[in-house]
Amino acid sequence: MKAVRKSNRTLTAPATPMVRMARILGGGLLGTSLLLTSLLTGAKPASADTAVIPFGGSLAGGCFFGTVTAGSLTFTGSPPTTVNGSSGVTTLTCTAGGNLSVAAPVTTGQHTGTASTSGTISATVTNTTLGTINSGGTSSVAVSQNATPYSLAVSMVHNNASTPLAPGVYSYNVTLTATP
Amino acid sequence: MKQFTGVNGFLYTAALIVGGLTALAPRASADTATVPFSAALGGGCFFGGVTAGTLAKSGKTLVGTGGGVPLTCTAGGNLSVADPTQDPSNTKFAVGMTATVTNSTLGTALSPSASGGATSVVVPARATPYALNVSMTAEYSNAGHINNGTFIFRVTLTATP
Repeated sequence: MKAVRKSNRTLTAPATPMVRMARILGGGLLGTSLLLTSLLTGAKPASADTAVIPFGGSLAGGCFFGTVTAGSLTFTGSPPTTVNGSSGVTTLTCTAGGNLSVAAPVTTGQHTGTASTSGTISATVTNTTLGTINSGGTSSVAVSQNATPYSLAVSMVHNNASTPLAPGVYSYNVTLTATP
Repeated sequence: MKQFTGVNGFLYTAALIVGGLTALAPRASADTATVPFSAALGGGCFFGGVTAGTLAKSGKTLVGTGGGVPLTCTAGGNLSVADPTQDPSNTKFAVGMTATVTNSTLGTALSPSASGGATSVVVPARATPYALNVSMTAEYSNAGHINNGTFIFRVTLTATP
């Protein structure tokens, strides 16, 4: 039996000093690691944080037209020599002081009647506060800043003097411009 | 995916913020509105101011001359004239009332009771009015002569486009 035990010992690799040192250090590190983990998870309080996202910008004043109501045309004279446009409406809001102007009526692609170059033609814009402007005279007016929209009445006239208007379609556009 | 960290990450963030501020820089807003007007105008014929004629007696006939009216047709039309009608308060003329309309361009149109000519004329569209001359006759059919008095007749012209 002794001979056998001796034989077994000779088969097992003997522990060198380096191996023994590593075993000692490994055991120590494992213990230390477990200790630190325990301290950290059990002792440190929950951390809250905040983030501030900035948004910045500047808004300039502007003038804005509202919904447009088309006007209507009537013909006067016998034979008809004048086209009268009335009941055109739109609204205007300026968030800063601005200027309103109106241009002379321009015939559209549907127009087949007497040309607008014949006779005189003009457009008028009226508001009780702003007054009246006309494309053939004082065609612009200052507009002060307003929270409540100005209601603008738009009319026009195409006077063909004493020459009768030709039969056909009469179609015009009146353009208003507002600049802050 | 490329990660922006360290100094590169800071520069990237700064660029975003500057870009955002630049895009929101103040800019005044102008606006326009277009107001439409539209309608159709048909052609038509239109008489102008009427000049009354005068009557003269010739035997048992009253002859009316000098009546006139301008006519403008903005589309091609047709002109006709009716027999004269007499004011009910006057001495009646039972027969022989005729009217004539004449223009140097259009020609002559006769009322239905007249004879020897067309009862209507074609009127071409024209901006310049046609000057129409209107005359009439009224024959007294009763026995005796026409008594003095006031006589009023009306001649109606019709123009249709």
